[in-house]
Amino acid sequence: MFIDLLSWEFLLFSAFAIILVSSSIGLVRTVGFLGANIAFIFALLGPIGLASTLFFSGLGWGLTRVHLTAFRWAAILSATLLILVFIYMLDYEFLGLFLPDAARLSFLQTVGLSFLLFRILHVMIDARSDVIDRIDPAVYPNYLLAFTTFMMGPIQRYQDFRDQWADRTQAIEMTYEAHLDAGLRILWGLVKVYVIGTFIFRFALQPNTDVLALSLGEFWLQLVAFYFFLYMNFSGYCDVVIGIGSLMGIRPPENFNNPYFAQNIADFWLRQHRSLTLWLTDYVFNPVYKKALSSGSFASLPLAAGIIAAMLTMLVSGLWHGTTIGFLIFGLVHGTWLAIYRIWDHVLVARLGKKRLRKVRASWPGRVVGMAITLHAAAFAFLFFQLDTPSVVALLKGLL
Amino acid sequence: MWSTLFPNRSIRMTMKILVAAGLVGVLFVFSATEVDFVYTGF
Repeated sequence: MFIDLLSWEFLLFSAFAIILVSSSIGLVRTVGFLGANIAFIFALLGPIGLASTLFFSGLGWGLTRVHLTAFRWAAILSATLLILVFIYMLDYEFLGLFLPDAARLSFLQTVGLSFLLFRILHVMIDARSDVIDRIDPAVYPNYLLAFTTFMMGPIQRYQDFRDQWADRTQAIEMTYEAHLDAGLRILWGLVKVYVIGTFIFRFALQPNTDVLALSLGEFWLQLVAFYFFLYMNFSGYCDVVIGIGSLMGIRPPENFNNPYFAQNIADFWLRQHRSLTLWLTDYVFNPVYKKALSSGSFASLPLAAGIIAAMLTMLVSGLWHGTTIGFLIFGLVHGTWLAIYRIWDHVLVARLGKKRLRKVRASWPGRVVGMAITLHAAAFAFLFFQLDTPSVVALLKGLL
Repeated sequence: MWSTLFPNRSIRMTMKILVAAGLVGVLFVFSATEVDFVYTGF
């Protein structure tokens, strides 16, 4: 998807939004920001893309009202229906197994629908469990469509957005230096995307690469380059929108914390796309893990329950990341890495004891080995993230 | 990091403004670059 963050149009639009949100109040602020967000989506996606986004947002609002009724079956049905509509609108590859081509929405060009889905589901679940006491109709549309988090997140929580919107919490300190820091962050993010990222991209794995034709050295270089390109591309984008959000008064959450320093794969996911990891932990991993432990079969097997929950979480993560078989494998690979890590951790604790293991891991050789293994494991999984379907199929056929 | 390198606030602010100006210059050179955002694919 192409959007030019360096264009005068985007920079002027952002400046306009910053002035509008930070200097107006009440209805003018609410309606003005909503208008700006809708204009942004229209410029990005055109009339059909905007219509489909508004349809999905409206459906999300309606189904959230149904979800909050007293009936448990209505709650389950509304969430399921939303997910089914999402799968249909995004035209997942596996739909070809069930639907004729004429019944599929292959023409629809959408962006950000996956982020929108997770925002709607979060509000649904938290409002039903009273974590969110009230959904404010004046805040909710701007929460869903805010241009700062619309395209690629970070996945902000409703409470966080609402409290900043209502000035209950401050996005940044009211000092010149804090505002200068936000400006610097925007500029640094743009440098990461447009200068460093584009340089690394020259060496990175391409979607149509014939992996089996590469030498081991070429394969390693392209894979690691893609890992760092993706980091620069996505974290640079997050720097830009966090900087804009800070100046506007609604700062999106942090999404990255030097993932290449992660010492294990669980640590990696707390440093890479962190807002997604926290979402998946709250709404997939924890419920599945608790359910497994409370069921008879896994009550005395917490390790097995943890592995099953991690596998399922990563499967959801993979399918959320994209609609093709490559993303399914991407999720399965990460699920496998997490399972191996948990088993390995269990074995090491049994052999060395917790105290000694902590000491080994804190030593510099332990840290370097941990970082190197994690970086390569994460880079390998991104192979399936980047390759297109024909290349994934060719790779699997060649390997089997 | 900034506070450690430049404990004096005035010097720190001046340095930040200079770095910002430098980054603007770098971005001006790369302003014609087209970038695909990998995470927006769906």
